[in-house]
Amino acid sequence: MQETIAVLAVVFIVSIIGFGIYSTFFIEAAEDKQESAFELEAISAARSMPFLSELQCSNNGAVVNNCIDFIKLNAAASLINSGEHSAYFFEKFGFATVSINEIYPGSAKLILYNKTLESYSYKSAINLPILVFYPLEEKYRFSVLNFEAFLK
Amino acid sequence: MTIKSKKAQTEVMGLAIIFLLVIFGILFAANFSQNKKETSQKEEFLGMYLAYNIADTFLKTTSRDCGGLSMSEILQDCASNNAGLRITCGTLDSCAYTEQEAKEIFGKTLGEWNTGYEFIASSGGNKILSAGGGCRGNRKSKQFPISSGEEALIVSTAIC
Repeated sequence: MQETIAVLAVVFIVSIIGFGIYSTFFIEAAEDKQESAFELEAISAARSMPFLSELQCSNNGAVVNNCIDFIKLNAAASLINSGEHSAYFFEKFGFATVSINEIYPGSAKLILYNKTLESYSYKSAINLPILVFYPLEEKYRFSVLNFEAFLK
Repeated sequence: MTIKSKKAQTEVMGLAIIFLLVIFGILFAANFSQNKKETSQKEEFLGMYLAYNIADTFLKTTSRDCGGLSMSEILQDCASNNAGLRITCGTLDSCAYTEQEAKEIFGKTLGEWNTGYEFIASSGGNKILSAGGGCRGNRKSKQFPISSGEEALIVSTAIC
């Protein structure tokens, strides 16, 4: 009888330890999955940025891939962050900061969207090379779209 | 209850413990491998996208001091003309100039992000431009054929 109780106690303890370890791993895996899904959403949002009609370049009416028009960019920066339209863009990009950094030939920087979160559980940063077209000079400048998304 | 049957009961319990441990082990392994797969999928996607995107952006970029020509046009001149007949950008000929600008642009982007890369342009099988440290092992690469005279000009980028 004593032996049976001892074995049952061991089984019970081992099961509890096992369940504890498993649930820890399970929570970690769930968090990883959430972060992974969040990363994919951030990539998708960052990739959609140059295709916004408020920003995209066109050449004789044809859309130029992966390109932002500098004149539109300046106008869009104030439009996107204005109170009237901010809800629409928040729905698209959520808590994020989007900046365009010129790499070549200059080094200009412009913040396009700014909805930061002070306390966040996870941050995803994506850098995408992009062209910025200066229509008055008819020049394409090599820039980087920096997309930082914050998870609550 | 006899001593023999008590012993058998204990052994069964022991087997149950082992069985439970094995089940937990399998569950951990399954979870771990699933997470690893998702991370690599994400990295693979970003690598492929970056390999295409950075080369495409570079080729369309207007040069700083080469009469408003794009990098692609300067590369075409480099591939189709012999030394001496090539256009000059500042003090450098088209080949040396594109290489210099490629190194600057990729250094300020991929270099600063600690991403290994290899950027090569070749014409008729001969390497005319090379930037980056080269890739060993896993790499995502993209090739861009550009029309240029008689020889095919191939620009390729690899992200390590």
